Amino acid sequence: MDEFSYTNIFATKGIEYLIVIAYFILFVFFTRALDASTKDDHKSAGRNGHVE
Amino acid sequence: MTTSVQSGTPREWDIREFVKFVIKEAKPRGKFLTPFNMISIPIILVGAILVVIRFVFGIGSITNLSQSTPWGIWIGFDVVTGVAFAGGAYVVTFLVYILGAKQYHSIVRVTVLNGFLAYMFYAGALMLDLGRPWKIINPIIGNSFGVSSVLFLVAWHFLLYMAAEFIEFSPAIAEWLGWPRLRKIVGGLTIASVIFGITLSTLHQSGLGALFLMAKSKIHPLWFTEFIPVLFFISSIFAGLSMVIFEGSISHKVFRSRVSHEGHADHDAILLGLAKICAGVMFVYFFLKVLVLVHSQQTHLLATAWGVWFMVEVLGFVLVPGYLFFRAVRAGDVGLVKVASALALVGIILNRLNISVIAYEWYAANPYIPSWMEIEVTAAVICVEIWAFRWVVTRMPVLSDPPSWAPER
Repeated sequence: MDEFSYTNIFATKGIEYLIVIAYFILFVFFTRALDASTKDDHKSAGRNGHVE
Repeated sequence: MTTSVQSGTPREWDIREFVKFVIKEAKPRGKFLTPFNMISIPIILVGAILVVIRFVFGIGSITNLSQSTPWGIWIGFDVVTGVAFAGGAYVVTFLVYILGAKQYHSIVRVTVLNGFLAYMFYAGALMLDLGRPWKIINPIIGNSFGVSSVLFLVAWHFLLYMAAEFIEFSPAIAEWLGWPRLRKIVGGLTIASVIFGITLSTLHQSGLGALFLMAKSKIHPLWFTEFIPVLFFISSIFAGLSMVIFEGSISHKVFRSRVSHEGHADHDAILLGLAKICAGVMFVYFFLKVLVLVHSQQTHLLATAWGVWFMVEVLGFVLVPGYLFFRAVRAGDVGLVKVASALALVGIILNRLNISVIAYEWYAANPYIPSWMEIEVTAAVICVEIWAFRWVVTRMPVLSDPPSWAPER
């Protein structure tokens, strides 16, 4: 019978939890970085008087 | 009465005038000997001959398909990849009509037309692939519904979605014909058909992936996962939008004279907006691919030749174009958006062909390699679709403004 180890990150699927947590954290930074470019565009457009 | 047969002029129903109008519109316009025509005409002619041979002598006469490999490039590319590329229609209509993102309004018609033609030609190419094509009607008429098959779902969804897309596009046809009453009726059906179409799309994009769930023993473990339907659906979002960017950039150049003022002014902003969505969706898709790989406990296979090929697909054609979209949005670089969209399209072709052809029966001693005739027929189908697209765009108000009598889109 295979031995089950509670400290094995693969057997406990802990690695999947870590990937999901990493994904959620990175997604926040990712969307903020994407949005920052849009806000910068609006600001510079506003300075040039192009905002409708 | 020459003015009465102008396209877009409002007119009363008159059968003689209608026939005269259609004949006039059916005639070719502009230069005939263009570089595209010179290349596409021989391809279409050879393709037509091959299709006749296929129907006279059977499917084995021009393909390398066999009993053990009944699905080849016609399914893998024409249907499975083509439908993913057509996903732009449901994404853009969702953005415009459901989320109210009106900045994409000017590309709705061209995107819906593109999606409709893709379904018509690529899914229509299924007829070539069926051993007994006349039986294609069975799931519809109930001779043999086959409700336990995923293909039953796919068949009905294709049929209903094509009808929904036709209704979504029909205001442009009514404006071209100059029929205000019909325009009013079909215009009122738009929202209903959009909601219906989006519902169908989410299901059949994933349904196409579900077709491969029953081939667990045949697909390489790096590509087989019980999450194929989810991955197919998510990838169809950026596949469709990448196609909209790629095809829209070409159409914008080729049909420059027909593009409305609004279309010219908004073009770059639209491409950057779509690139932003692509970047976000590809980020999600990449993480899902990693998660699915770890979940299936097949990471040790990455050290094999198939593993390298898998990483070429995921790193080279998902992560790289995703990053390029991100960079392009940050820098406001439209040129980079186009490069990223081309790479993303290659990635989708690789993914769909890997699952349906390349990594399918990967252990076979004599793997399936498509014959030149299969590739030729595929090229002919693409060329005919482009001809149909060009015919519609140069006649109907797709890129151009609608006639003055038509209500606001």
